Amino acid sequence: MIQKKICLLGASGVGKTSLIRQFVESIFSDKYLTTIGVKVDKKSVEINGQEVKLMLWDIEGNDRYHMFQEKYLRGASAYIIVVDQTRSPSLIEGIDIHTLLQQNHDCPTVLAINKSDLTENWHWGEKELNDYKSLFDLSYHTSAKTGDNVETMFSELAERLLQESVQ
Amino acid sequence: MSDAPTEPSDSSADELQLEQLRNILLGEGNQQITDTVRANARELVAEVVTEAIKDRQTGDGSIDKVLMPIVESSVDASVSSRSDKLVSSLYPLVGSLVRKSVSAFLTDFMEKTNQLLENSFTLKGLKWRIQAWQSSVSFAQYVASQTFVYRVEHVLLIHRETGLLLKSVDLDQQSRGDADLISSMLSAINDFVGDSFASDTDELKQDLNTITTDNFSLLIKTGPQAMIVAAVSGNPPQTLADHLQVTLESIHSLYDKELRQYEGDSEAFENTEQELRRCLMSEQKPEAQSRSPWMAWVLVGALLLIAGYASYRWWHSYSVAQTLRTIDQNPGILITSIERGDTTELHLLRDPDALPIAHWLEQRKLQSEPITIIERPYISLDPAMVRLRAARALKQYPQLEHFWEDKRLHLNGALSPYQKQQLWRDLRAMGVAVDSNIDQRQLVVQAAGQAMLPRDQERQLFDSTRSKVNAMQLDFDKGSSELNEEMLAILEQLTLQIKQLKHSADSLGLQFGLLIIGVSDNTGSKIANANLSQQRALSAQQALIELGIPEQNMYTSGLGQINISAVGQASRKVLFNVLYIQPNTQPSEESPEEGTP
Repeated sequence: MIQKKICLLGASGVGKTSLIRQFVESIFSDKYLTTIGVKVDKKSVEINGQEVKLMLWDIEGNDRYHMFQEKYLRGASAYIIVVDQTRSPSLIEGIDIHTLLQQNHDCPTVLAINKSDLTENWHWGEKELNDYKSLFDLSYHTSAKTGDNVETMFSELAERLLQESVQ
Repeated sequence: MSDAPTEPSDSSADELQLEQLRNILLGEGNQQITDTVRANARELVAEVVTEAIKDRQTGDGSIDKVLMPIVESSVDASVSSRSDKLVSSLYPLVGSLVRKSVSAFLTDFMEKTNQLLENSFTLKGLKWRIQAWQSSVSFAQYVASQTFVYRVEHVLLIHRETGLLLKSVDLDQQSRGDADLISSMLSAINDFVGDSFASDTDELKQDLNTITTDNFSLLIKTGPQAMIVAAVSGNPPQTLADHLQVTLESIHSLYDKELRQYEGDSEAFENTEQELRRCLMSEQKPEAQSRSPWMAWVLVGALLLIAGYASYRWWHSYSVAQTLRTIDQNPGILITSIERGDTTELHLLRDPDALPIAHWLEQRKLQSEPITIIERPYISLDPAMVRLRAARALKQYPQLEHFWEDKRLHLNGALSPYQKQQLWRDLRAMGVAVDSNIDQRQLVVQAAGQAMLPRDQERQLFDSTRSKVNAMQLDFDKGSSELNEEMLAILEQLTLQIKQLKHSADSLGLQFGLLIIGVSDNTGSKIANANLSQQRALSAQQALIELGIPEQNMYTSGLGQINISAVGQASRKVLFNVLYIQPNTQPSEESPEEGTP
């Protein structure tokens, strides 16, 4: 069985923990609990008859002034940068993190524009957004609350990782 | 001096020439040698391969680690492709393997049951249960912490960089917590600690070595590519840490490539299981090992004591019963049954005149034994009992003398007819066979009121005895002086009478003698008949001497033939006559002789 370490990063409160919870346990809670340090979860998915075990590292949300916790990223097979479509700065922060990561790590990256169940409330235009999306290997509009695109995102990422390791 | 500058160039030229020579001889890049060695490689390696493998295995034991996965995969391949061959090779082994495994299972089962019993039903077990509940850990875990100095419960091999679990082994196959998550979190924590406490970047990264809780420790050994983590209950010794370190190093050296190129596929590390299992070490607390099974000893002791006491009781009651059986030897006591139990029950029949049982028990010192006597009275015909009773009956008749000869009661004295009737009835009731077993020839029965003076009675007895003797005679066969059985019986009878006569004569102050007269019939010559008659008298005398009559009290005479026509034909006899005198008077008128004795 193949195991893959996947890190979820992003500003605090964008819904990293909620995405993982929705994916692993199919549960959503409105209650906000901030993650301290790191929390690890796992879920196995089956891709074309092969099982892939995803180790999901839910890393404490960063703000602009917080030193980036790079130590947790070692050995990761992929990163998911989570942003909140109701908060414009969360995208900037996400792009900052992405830029930082690109300097040291070469692995697939995913952009998850979360809270798609809520009305979009940021000033980014379609083109700007697409430009940002193009920086990533994959991008999704997800909702941890409704589960929209959550399963798809993880499955497609797993599939991509599997292809890479076959190559 | 001029040579001096050229020296370096000379030497480099030499070097060059040497190199060229080397190339010619050995070929480019030692090609010649390599080719030669390669050509003979097979023979060369074959010569040393066994020794080399042995040396390496002795040196660092790495051969088996390398061989194990190869052998395993070969067996695997053999099982899947040529299973029938493998089955036929293994067939003879399977039976014993199954037996071994069953017996191992049973032993393990017994041990576990025993442990469970021990821990569940002893005071210690109860105490442990309460303490386990108080510290909210499972009972099994608590027992382990109390029984072992330390015990490795779980060993994890973790990829250093990704924090992914490569392989884990458990002591009891049931994992506590999720090994994958533990691995990731541990490496996260390790990274956190390492980065947080490193004072500057040049310094070597700090690594976690131990994480300790109240009764659990995580021993962590970190290598460049992997870490090994042992979850230990109790106090792990340094040797365990050393062992983990050695194992980690060995894994690094054997799986270096796999570790470096790890991309999430842990299958390559399946073969580390053996080595990781060797890390599941433990040490029992010495007291737990050396404790003596005192409960069992007490139980065995108690059982032995009970068995000993029971057999003593059995033996004692057996010997008491044996002793009791001898009570039967007492006249008038008959045992009907003996029942042995807590108390011995003795059922018996007892003549009222027999020895009292309590008295007998006292003689045998059995009075304190738990013996119940169930006694039923009966009348015993045992001679001793009969005599005892007869003596009691005869006490009422002081004038009677009596003695027993064999089973016959001899009575001597006088009774009135009524008294006799009375006595006879009493004796019969007491078991004396009055008709056959009483000799009453010396008994005088007189009508009441004619009571005689004792001397007169004696005289009467003397006279009656004397007349009995006088009436006796022996009948011989023709021409014979031999005594036959019948005659001997008469002579015996005669002897008794003579003894009685002697007794009476003594008390009356009389003296007496016995005249024995032989006669013959009148056939044949007179002289022969005279001799024959004399011979007959002598035969009778001789027999009486043998029966105890003194010779000097007898006189024999042969009369020869009796010429009385009426009886002369059959007078082949010996006749007896008693002669007596009162010493101060004349001889008795009955005496046929002229002379006095």
